[in-house]
Amino acid sequence: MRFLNIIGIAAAMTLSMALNGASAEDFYAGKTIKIVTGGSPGGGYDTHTRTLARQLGKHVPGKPSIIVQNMPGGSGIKSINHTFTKAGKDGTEIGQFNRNALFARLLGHKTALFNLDEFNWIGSTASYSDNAWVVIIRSELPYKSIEDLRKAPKPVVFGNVRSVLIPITKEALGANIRIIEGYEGSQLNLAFERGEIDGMGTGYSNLFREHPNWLKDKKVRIMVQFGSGERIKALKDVPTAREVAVSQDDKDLVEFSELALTLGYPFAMPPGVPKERVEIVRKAFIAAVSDSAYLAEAKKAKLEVTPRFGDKLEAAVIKAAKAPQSLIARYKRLAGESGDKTR
Amino acid sequence: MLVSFFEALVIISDPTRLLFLGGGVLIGLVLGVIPGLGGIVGLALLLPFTFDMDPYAAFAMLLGMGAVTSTSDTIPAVLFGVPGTAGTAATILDGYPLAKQGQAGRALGASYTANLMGGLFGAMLLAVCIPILRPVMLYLGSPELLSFSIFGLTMVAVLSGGSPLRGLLAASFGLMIAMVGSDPQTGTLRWTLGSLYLWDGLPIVPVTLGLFALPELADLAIARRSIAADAKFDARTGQFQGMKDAIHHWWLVVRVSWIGAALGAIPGIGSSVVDWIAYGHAARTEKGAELTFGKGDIRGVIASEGSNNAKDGGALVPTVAFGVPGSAGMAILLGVFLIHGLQPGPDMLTKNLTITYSMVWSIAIANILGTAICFAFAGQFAKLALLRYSIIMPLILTVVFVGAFQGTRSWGDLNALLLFGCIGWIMKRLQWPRPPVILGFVLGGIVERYMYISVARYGADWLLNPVVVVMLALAAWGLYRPFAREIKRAGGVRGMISGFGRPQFGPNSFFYLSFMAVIAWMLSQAYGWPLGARLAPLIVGYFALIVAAISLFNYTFRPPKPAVVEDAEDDFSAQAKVLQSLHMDLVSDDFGIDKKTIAVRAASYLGWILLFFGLTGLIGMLPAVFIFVIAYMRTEGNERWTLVLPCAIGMYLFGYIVFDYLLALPWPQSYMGDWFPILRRTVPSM
Repeated sequence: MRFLNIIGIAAAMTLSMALNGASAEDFYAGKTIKIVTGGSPGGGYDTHTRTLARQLGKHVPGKPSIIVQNMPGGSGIKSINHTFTKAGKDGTEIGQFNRNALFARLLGHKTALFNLDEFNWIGSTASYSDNAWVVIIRSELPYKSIEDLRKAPKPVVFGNVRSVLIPITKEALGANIRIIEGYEGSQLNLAFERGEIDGMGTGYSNLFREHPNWLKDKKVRIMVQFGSGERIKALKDVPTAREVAVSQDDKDLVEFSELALTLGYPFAMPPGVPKERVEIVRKAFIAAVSDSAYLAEAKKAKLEVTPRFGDKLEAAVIKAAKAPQSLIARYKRLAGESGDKTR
Repeated sequence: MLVSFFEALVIISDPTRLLFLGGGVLIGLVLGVIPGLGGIVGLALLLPFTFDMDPYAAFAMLLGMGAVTSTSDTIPAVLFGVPGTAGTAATILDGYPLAKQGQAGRALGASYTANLMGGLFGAMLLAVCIPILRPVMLYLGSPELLSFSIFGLTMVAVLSGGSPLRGLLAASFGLMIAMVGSDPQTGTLRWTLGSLYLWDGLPIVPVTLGLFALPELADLAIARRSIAADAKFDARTGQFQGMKDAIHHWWLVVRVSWIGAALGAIPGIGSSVVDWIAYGHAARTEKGAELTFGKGDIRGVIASEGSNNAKDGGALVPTVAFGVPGSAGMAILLGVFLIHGLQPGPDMLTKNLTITYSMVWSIAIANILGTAICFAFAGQFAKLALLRYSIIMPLILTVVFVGAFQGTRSWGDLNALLLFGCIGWIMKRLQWPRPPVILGFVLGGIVERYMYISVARYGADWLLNPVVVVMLALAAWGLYRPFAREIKRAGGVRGMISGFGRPQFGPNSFFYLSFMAVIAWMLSQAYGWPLGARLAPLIVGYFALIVAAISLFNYTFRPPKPAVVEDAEDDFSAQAKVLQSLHMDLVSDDFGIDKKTIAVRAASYLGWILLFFGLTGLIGMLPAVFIFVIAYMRTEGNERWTLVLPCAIGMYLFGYIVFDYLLALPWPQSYMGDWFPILRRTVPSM
C-alpha cells in the first residue's frame, strides 16, 4: 500500500512536472486548490475559511480557483486525519483544523492519526490577541472578583457547553461554582437570560456581537479573561486567569489551556508537499489576510483579524506538544469532566 | 404594529427583492427533491452572495429557499418511498401507497396544498405571536422543554398501531442508537466501536433513508413491476382532487401547522420529528384513522405535509427573539443577521419590526410560489410511477446512495445506510412498526440532555412545575390508552394470563433474540462508564429487554396474535384482518410471489447494493454510478442501449454538476485515487 502510494505520487509528480514545465510558479495555473475544513457550514471555522478562500486565489501565482469542503465529524479529528493521511500532497489541498482537536493525540486518543510537527503550517486568521474568553456572572450577584467567588457561601450555578475552561475556573482558580454540563451551543445564552444559570463562559467578541445589550445594560459582570496572557484593550480592568491563579501548577495549567485558544483558526498543508509550493501558499496567505477586500469582509462579518503565520503558529503547536505529562494528565481529567474528549 | 406589517409587504414586493426570493425558491425546490441535500447546504452556498444585498433581499432569498425544500421533498417520498429530506418521512406511509394505487397526482396535489396552507398558517402564527414571543420563550426552561419532548415521545404509542409492545421495542431501539457517540455530560464515548464515524452520533440522513427508502426499493425490486402497476391513471384530475382533499380537511391542516410551528420553535427538535408527531396526532384524533392510516389515507399525507412547512415560521421565533437558532439552518441565518448589523433580541420586535415582518412575508410568498411551481410539474412527476422498475431502480438507488453519503460524507454513512436498510426491511417484512425507531432516535438525545440538565439544576423540584405536570399527565394518558385497548382485546388481565397455545417459532423469534442480544451487549458495555453516561442507557436498555421478553413470550405461546400475520392464508380470518389493519406502517405486498423467489430476489438486490459499494471503493462514486446504471438496466431489464446510455450519462452529469461542480462536496476516497493521485485530479470523485 505504502509502496504503491509512493510510486503513485512519484508518477503523478513526474507527470505533472512534465506537463507544467516543472516550475512551482506555474504549477497553480489552471488548478484548483481545495481547502478542507473540519467545521460545519455556517459555523465559525467555516466562516473564517470561506472568507479567506474568496481572497486567497488571486495571491497565488497562476490564480488557481479555490473551493472549500466541509468535513465535520469526530469532534474535528476526522478532517485533521484526512489532511494528514489522505489529502493530495502536490500542494492543491489545504486543511483547516478545529484547534481543540489538534490536541487529541497529545491526550492519548488512538483515533487521532496525525503528528503535529509533520504538518506544513500555513497560518491562522486569528489568534485571540484582540479577543478573550471571558467568565461572566449575572451582575445582581454580590461577587465582584474571583476572590469573592472563592469565598461565596453557596456555589454559583454555571452552565457549560463542553469547555474545559469552566472546570479550570473552578479547580485552578478556586471559584466556588456548580457546573451544569450538557447545554448545546447558544442555548446556553438562553438559559442565562431566563435565569436557569447564573454564570457561563464565552468569547468576548461573541458576547459583544450577539448580546451587546448585556454589556450595555450591565446585566453581566466579567470576572476573568482567558487569552494570550495579556489583558485585552477592551477589558483593561478584568484580571487575566494567569494573574489570579495562585500556585505555579495552576498557572501552568491555565497557560496550557490558553494555547488552544491562541491557535485560532489554523490552516496547514499535508506533510510531504514540495517546500516551494508551501512557501507560495504561505506568502499568499499573508497577502490575503492583509488584502483590503478581506479586511472589509471580515469587518462586515465581525471576524477577528489577528493573523499568525507559518513559523509562529508551528512554534505554538510544538510548544503545546512538549507540555509535561503531569500537566497533560490534569488537563485531561478536567477536560473529561467538561465532556470534551478532544481537548 | 399593523403599520410595520403592511410596510413590510410593500418592501418585500419590490421587484428586485421578489426576484431574489424567486431565485431562492427555485434552488430550494431542487435541493428538496434530492435526498441528502436540504436547506442547510443551500444556505451555506448562497450565504456569500447575500453580503452585498440589503437585509430584506438577503432574508427573502435565504428564507424563501429554506421554506420550500419541505414542499418539493414530498415528490420522491410519494413517488418512490424515498424521503427527499428527513422531514418528510411520515408522508411515505400514506403517500407511497397512494402512488401505488395510481393516485400519485392526488397525493402530490394534497400535499402541495397542505404545504401551502401549513406554511401560511405557520407564518401567520408567527406574525400574531410576535408581541408575546419573548415572555413565552423566557418562561420555558429546560424542564418544560423536557416535558414537551417526552410528550412527543409518547406518540410512539399511537404510531405503533396494533402492536404496542413492538412499538415500544422499536422506540427503545431508536433511543439506544440515539445515545451512540460522545455523551454531552461526561464526554464518554458510548458504543463507538473505536470508530471516529460514531463519535458525533449516527447522522439522521442514512438512518432515515435506510429505514424507509431501501426497504421500499427492495420490495419494488422483488415485485419487478412499476410502482403503480395496473392502476388507472390521470394525474390532472388527481391533482385537483388532492387539492380539494386538503381544503376539505382544513381543520386538520390548521392543527398540524400549529404543532409544526410550536415544535419548530423549540431548539433541538428538528424537522425530522415534526412530521411524525403531526402524523401521530392525526392518527389519534381523526375518525377511523386507525383502520386506514398507513394504507393510502390522504389525511396521513395532509397531516405530515401540513406540519413540515409550518416549522420554518416556528424556527424563526427563537432566532429572532433571542439569537438562539431553532434549527441548523437558522444558525446560518443568524450569521446573516450579524453581517447586516442586525441584533437578534428585543430590538427585532420593536425597532426592527419591519424586518421581522418582512421575514414572515418572505416565508409566506415563498410557499405560494413554490406550490405553484410544483403544481405545474406534478403531472409530469406523477408519470414516473408508471416506469418499469428496471429504469426506476438504478436511477433512484444511485440517488439514495449519493444522498445517504451526505450524512457526514464518510464511508460510515454507506455502511449505516446498508445496516439500517437491512433492519428496516426485516421490520417491514415481519410487521414491526418503523416510525417509533425514528421518533426515539430523534428525541432520545434531546430527552436525555434536558433530563440531565433538569435534574442537575433543580433536583426533583422541576417535577412540580405546572407545565411539566400537565404535559407529563397528557403523555401518560397517551401511553395508557393503546395498552388499555390491548388488554381489553385480550379479554382483560385474566385473558392475558390464560389461553396459551403450543409454542411457535419463526423468523420473528430469531429477530427478537437478535434484538435482545444486541441490547444485552450494549448494556454490558455501559457498565464501565461514569454514572452520568450510563444512567440513561441502562434505564432504556433494561426496559427494552423486559418488553422484548414479554413480547417474545406472547409471540411464542399465543400464536393467533396481531401482527403475526405472515402467511397469506391467515389474511382470510376476519380477526386477523382487523388486527392487521391496525398496523400503522407500510406492509410488503408480494403479488403472490413465493418465498423462495422473494429470498433470491432480495439477495440479488443486496448484491447490487454491495456491487455499488465495491465499485465506489475501487473507482470512486461517480464512475460507480455510471457503471451501476448500465449494469443494472442491461442485466435486470435488458433495456436497449439507446435508453441505457442517456440514463447513465445523465446520472453521471447530474451527480457531477450538482455535487461536485456546484456544491464542491467531498467524495469517498477510492483506492484507484489513492494509488494513482493523477487520476483523482482528472476524474471527478475518484
